[in-house]
Amino acid sequence: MYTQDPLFWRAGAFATTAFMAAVLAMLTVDTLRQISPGGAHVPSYSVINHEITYQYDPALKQYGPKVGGEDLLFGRSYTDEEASALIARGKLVIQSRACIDCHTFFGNGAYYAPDLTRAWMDPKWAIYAGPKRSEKIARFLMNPLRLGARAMPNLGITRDEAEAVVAYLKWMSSIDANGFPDRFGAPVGAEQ
Amino acid sequence: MTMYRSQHLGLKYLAASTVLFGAMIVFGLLSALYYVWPGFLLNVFNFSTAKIVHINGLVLWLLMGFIGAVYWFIPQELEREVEGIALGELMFWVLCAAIGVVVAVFIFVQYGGANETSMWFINQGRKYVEAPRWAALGIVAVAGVFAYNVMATVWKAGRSTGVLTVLILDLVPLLVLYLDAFPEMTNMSQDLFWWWWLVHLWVEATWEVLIGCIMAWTLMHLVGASRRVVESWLYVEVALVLGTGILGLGHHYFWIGTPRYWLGIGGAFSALEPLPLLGMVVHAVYDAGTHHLKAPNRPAFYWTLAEAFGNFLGAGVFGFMMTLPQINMYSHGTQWTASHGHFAFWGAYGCGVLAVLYLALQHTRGAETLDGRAWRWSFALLNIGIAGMAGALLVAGMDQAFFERAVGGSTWDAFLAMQGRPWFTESMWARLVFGVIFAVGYAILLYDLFSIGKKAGALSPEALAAAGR
Amino acid sequence: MTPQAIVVTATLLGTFVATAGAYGVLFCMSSMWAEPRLKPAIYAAYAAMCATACAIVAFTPLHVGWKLLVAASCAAYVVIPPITLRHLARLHEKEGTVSS
Repeated sequence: MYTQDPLFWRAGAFATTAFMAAVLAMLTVDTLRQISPGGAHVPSYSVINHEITYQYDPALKQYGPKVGGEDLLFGRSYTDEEASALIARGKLVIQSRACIDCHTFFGNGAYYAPDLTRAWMDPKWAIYAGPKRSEKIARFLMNPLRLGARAMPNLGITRDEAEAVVAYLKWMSSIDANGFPDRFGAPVGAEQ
Repeated sequence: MTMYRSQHLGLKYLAASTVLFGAMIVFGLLSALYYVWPGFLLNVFNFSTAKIVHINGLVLWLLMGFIGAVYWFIPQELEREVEGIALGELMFWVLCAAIGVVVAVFIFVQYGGANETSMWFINQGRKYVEAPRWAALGIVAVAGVFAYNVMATVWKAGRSTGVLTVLILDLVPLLVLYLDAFPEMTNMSQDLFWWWWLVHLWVEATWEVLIGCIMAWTLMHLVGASRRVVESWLYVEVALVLGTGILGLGHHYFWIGTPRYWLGIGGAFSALEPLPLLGMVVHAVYDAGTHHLKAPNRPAFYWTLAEAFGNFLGAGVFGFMMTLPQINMYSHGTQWTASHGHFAFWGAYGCGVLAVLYLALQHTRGAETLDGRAWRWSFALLNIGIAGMAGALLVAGMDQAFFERAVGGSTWDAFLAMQGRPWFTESMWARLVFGVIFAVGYAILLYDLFSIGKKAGALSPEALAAAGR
Repeated sequence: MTPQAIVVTATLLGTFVATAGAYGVLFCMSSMWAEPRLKPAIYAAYAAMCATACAIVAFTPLHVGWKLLVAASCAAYVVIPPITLRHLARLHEKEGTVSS
């Protein structure tokens, strides 16, 4: 009986692995295209010049970011190149301080501190004094305040590093994450 | 008993692995403490630093265990010394030194500025691969020599075996995937996309095949399983694990900005991943049955059984609970994930490394049989500890999914309110208590590893005579 | 999904795989040790697995595709233990390594 022959199962192992790897490769090509800045799911970096909100989309039946009219960051308009450089620096700050080892990004990371996917839009910023949200977030990063049970450490973030991180958070909040997190900023009663 | 040089090197790796296991536990307990002691060591030694050492310790103790196991088994497999073993021995010390430096920098330097110097010498700040680039290069060098040792030995021997061929074929993607430890990508979606190739295709694909090979050899040496049987089974395992796991990668692509089709593909293949794990459990029960739960080396036998059961429970049951997108939307990024992660890593890999440790010990102690009381205590406490931690984190995670995500809308206020809820805080305390139980189990394991098989009763008459008693 | 439905559905899903595992282990033990006293436990685990799968299909708000997947998985979990055992037994018979 051929099923008693180990070589039958070896052939199956090779074939299965090769087939699945090929499918993964094809899906990867398509996915990389869609997640490049300017692609279907990820806006270009100059989106930081615009207003970004989080709304329910009845067509997709999920919540998602919506890019609106002009809403300048730190009072200036960034070209694509400038925005790209600023956001690249923001990512370097995030990595150098290992933010992902306390926080999550798109739910990935550590669970000790809040998720930062939509942090740009968090209602919490309303409690801080300051002319604009970008300014509030930058000041917080340079001098974190204790918020309830969890305190953020002071990581020695400079002014220009803070601005870069704010730009990063604003750009990241515009990414379509298939509805994650659900109902951000729109809590409902437990009975619904 | 005479051993090959490679087996001596294997023992060094297994010993270092055991030490790193302990370090991982210490920093794990420390990480748990931050949850129950607000403001603990703030700005002196933050949670992120403790966690970094904990998770890097996790990856390294398991990897060193795997490498040690392979160095242990290969010369017996091919009945010859490993090729280039002197280089392999050197790289062991290089790796230990590198780990020491990296951990010291993590602990005493912690952070640098937003520049390439930080990336190259301090902290790359990507989960599991925080080690600076110079160390990542070092790991590539060590792994490269290891792969050379394995492949050159097969080449010089002029023959291979089924298990060894599967291992070598597996080593190639395993090493290539590590290349993701280097780049710094601005686009977080792209960063996470490739990062998951490394993490998932390691722990849910190439590592599964690797531990499958190691367990195949373990069964051959532990209970005299026939080569034909274990190889046949290994091929089935590879087909099912990679057949479900390669596209199961998609269960990490639900929410990172990737296209919607990953919800269907990732969810479906991920949901199939427990099926081969049930097959492994059945195989484990079959082996236990044919040997009436007896083996000359009882701790190795029981840790082998624990590997199958732990894998099924931690990865299969706990994974399936949270993998469908409609659930995962709310469980994602909560303690629920940590619950599954702790249980799965332990069941799938930790138990396997301990089985090999005891197998090697029986050989080095020259014992005909290996049994005792201490290993049973350590076995019980380690498994109760991990199950308790996973259970506590599950309660906390479900509470988070309910109140922080579904009800609270995942804002900072929802998160902060959650951290103070009674079920959450009590779960954090329970996790710490079970972590201490796990640590006690480890301490007894250490005692047992030093003492088992050394008593006169465990030696065969021939060994006793040779020892001059 | 309501918050309650999330927790209930997840618990049912975990219970489903856990009862499938229990059925597989008990089935295997009963075959290996020819122990008739295990039969009630096997039937109970099997019934629990099927009941959980039915509950998932009937009462959870999962999309229909996932419900079909759970139903198909239930069928697979039923046949995996006997097929695996038969395969292992035949493999060992060929090797002459079966012990009583």
